[in-house]
Amino acid sequence: MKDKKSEIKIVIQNLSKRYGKKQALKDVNLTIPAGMFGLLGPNGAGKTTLMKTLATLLKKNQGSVHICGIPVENASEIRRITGYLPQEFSMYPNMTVYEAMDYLGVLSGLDSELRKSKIPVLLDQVNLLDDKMKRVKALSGGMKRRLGIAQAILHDPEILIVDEPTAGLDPEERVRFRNLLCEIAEDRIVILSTHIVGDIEATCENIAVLNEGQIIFNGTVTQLLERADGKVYMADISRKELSDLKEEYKVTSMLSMGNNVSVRFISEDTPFLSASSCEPGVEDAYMYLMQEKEVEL
Amino acid sequence: MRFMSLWIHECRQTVKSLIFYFYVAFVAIFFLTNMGSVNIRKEPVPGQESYGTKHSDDPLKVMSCTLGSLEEAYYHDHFQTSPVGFTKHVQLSDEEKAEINQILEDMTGMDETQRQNNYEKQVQENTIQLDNGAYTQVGVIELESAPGVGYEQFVENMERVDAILGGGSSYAEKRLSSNASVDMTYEDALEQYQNLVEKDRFTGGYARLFCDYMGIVLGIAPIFMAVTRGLRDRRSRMQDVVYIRSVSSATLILSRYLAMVFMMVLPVILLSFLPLTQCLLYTNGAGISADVLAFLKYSLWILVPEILVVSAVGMMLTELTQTALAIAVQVFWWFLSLFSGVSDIYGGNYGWNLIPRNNSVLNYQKYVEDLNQLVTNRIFYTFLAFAFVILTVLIYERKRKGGLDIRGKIHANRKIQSKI
Repeated sequence: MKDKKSEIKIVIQNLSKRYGKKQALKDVNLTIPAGMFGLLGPNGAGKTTLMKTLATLLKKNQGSVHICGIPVENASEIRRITGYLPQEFSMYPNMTVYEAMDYLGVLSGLDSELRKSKIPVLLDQVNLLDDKMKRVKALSGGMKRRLGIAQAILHDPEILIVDEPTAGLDPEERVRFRNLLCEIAEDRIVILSTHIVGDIEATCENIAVLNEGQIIFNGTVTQLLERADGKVYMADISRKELSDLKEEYKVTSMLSMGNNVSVRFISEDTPFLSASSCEPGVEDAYMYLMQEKEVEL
Repeated sequence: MRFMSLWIHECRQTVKSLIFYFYVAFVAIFFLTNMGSVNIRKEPVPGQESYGTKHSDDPLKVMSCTLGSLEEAYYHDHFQTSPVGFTKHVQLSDEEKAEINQILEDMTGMDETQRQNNYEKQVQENTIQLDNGAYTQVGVIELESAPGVGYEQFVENMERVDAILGGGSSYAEKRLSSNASVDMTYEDALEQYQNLVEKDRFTGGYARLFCDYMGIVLGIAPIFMAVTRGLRDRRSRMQDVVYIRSVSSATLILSRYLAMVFMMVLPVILLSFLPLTQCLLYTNGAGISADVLAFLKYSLWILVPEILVVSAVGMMLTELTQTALAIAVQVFWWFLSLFSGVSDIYGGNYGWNLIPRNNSVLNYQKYVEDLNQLVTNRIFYTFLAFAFVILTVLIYERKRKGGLDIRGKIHANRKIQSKI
């Protein structure tokens, strides 16, 4: 008998999606196992399209998607096991936090008793229990996101899709939110779509990078880092030299120090004598990957 | 179970929405300004100065009054129609006028000059001087039909006149009797009153009058509720959060729709207690056995189908376009219905009008004569409403799966380069 965790997976094969003439997803192949999964890519890469297709909110043009063995065409079954936090989450502004949860609970088919017992527990988990009588319009951005997570896991879904959840949050809220996602990810798939590399670095082991509708990387964070091994350099240069360096290399970070600048950049070969090779971070590896893609094109 | 929970949630949301209070205020103000104080009809007594007027059912009277009216229009070359309630001046060509002249000649046996002399003589006789010195014309011009002209032949010719005028004139067959008003006798007035007391059990006539006024306001007010509800998810940017839930589109749409309709019917029923109470106070004192449930019964079968269909149209168009287009559509339909019913304001001839008129408590006879029409009309609109609801469910289901988003597509195409 297979354990529950091995049954929980998403298999995407040759998925394509087009908006008129614009190809949003091109032949995407991906297998997403249980746990946190990061989907990284620049704005306009097709992340939201992929998320919405998995959430049955968009129709695919080609290919197949199976979520826990259920084809995505079976929308009612998929909706039963899927929770979704859209990029711009909001609720009826005049509802209180509790009313919003209760309403969405009814829409998810939870009976009155279950809602009464579950909603306070979830609100406590996302640290909103004390604000349960607050109107949605009075919530801060971070509180709204936490309410978004609570509503998404209200019906205990096996799949949780979270689209750009930390955009606009302050650093403290962002860390709290990431931790919350990690807690939730046990025994289910949490797909975190973002263009913020730090979110992925802190939470996901498995990741995929999407660019212009295509998967350009699929593997672990370690594998991504290995790809950039020996390609990241550091150097202290004068401000005057910075523009020349930027023209020649992809700069991943800079730190100003008086008239000098400490830069990290990507290079296939040893660039110049004063530059020293350094350990790549996820952000460096991601930038390296994107540069590779640009060169290929 | 889920349906009931959702229905209750939707009712609660409606109670908390500002638009609901606007709706209640709109309906209540319309009611109070038109029917706030019920004019209780008393039994007519012999010797009253007037018992009002009624349309004549005497064919000779109808013929002479109609021909007199046509001659007057021909004499002044001033023809009018009111196809959808608005009075419209019609300018005829020389050929058309010649045809009208020929019809008048055939019907009266008099040539143009004879008729002109007759008309001018009657005008002179009917003109009186008022106390302030001004002159005014009293009574109507009548022109007797020629011997041997039968009523059927007359109707046929008047239909031809109506066709020449483009339709919607008082020469159309169903409007001919409106040309001949006669004074009611004491017996006529007593019969009407007895119908009200015995057949209508007094409250019936008032309930129809209540439905007449409420029908006007309910032909338009529900559209604002429906459009606001339809746009609420998009305005709150929570469409995706709702779409992803396991609830079926049918359960969701039907619960929203029925909650909305229930909340709109409720104030109407509550308002009906005001005229009902006034009627019961009178009937108890006068020893008349009144129908206590008349207002409820008439409201449910005459007004509810109207609320059903207006809300359904609003919901369907709003779901399809995600705009307030339904308001413009409904305003147009409302105007058309309201003004096309003007000629039958006191009941009868209900046809397919969305707003059936019964602007008289004493119209029992007309109401009963055309009751079948009204029943068919209301059943049709109820079915039409549910057809629109089914269409809304299908549209909603398509949109949940990323299809049919007309407004979204426009936006998506605009944004496509920056955000996929």
